[in-house]
Amino acid sequence: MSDQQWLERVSAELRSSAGSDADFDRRVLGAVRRSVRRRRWAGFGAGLGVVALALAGAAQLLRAPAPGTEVEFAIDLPAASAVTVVGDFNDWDRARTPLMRSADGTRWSARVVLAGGVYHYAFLVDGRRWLADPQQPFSVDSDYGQSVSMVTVQ
Amino acid sequence: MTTRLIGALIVLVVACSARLEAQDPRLRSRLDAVTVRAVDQLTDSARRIGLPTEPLIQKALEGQTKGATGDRIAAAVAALLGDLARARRGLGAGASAEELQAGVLWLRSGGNEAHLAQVHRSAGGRGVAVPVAVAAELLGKGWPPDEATDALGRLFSARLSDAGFLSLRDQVAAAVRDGAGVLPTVRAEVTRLTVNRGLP
Repeated sequence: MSDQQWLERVSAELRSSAGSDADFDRRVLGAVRRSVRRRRWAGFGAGLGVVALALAGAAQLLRAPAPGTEVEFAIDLPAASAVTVVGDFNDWDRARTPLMRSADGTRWSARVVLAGGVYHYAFLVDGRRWLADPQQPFSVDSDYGQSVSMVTVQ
Repeated sequence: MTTRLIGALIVLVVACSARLEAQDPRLRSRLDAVTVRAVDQLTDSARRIGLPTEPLIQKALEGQTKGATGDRIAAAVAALLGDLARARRGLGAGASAEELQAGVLWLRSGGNEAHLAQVHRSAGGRGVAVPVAVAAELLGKGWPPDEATDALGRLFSARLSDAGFLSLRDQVAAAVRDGAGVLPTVRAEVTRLTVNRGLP
């Protein structure tokens, strides 16, 4: 039953039972109309709430980490004292992904789990020298002057 | 009354979190206020037209890490926003963020939107992020875009998987390390992968 039909039915009922008291009719009908408006707003609010919760849930799902692939970043730099890999998988943070020196002291490496996509990166040697990955023959010019390497993860 | 209040609060919380997301904390903590505002405006524009914002944020962070000026960072982010829009014109409105990033690589390696549109058509609905990224790397080494576009269509017809495209890239990289030329290697690999599957 629609709100309008419900209102008319209640009005008819009230008219038949309350006789000809026009003022009484007006007051009662006013109260009924306010009640209907409240019900509509409550329904609207609840609907919005459900939609907002659904959107928030969907956003959480979209942010959930995708299963990743382990990628090794490695470079031979026996003379270096510190090497990090910096790229768009670690917010270009100089400190977040340090490479570990191998036992013989020549090779630096780190393993990072990456979701599917295309990533740009470079090595930062001793905190001041940028190097594209010499093992990757494909690199692109960065917008900032240095070449960066690319890795594509499935 | 209570239901209305809860509904309004939920809407308010969602709206506030959306606004906070617009002002990325990574930018606020690493860039000066003027650059943050410039990059924020660009990411807002991207969000409004349905383009991914994360590549733009990463481009700004890359600039900060490399000591670029605020103007240069804003210019690099704006250029990337333009290229993401061009990539979407080529790859279609349904392109994923990964496909758009691969499309940007393609555009920056000498290809154009028309090539991307042709790749999108010939893909027949399969994801093109990996194939386009692999081909873009090879464009950067001299593979002509027209030839690469045609080759991608043939490789799609041959049902080459993403792993197959990555393997193709690795084969070429290995050959280049051994002193072979990129073009002869790419052509030989594409022929092997398509002819062996009964394609011309």
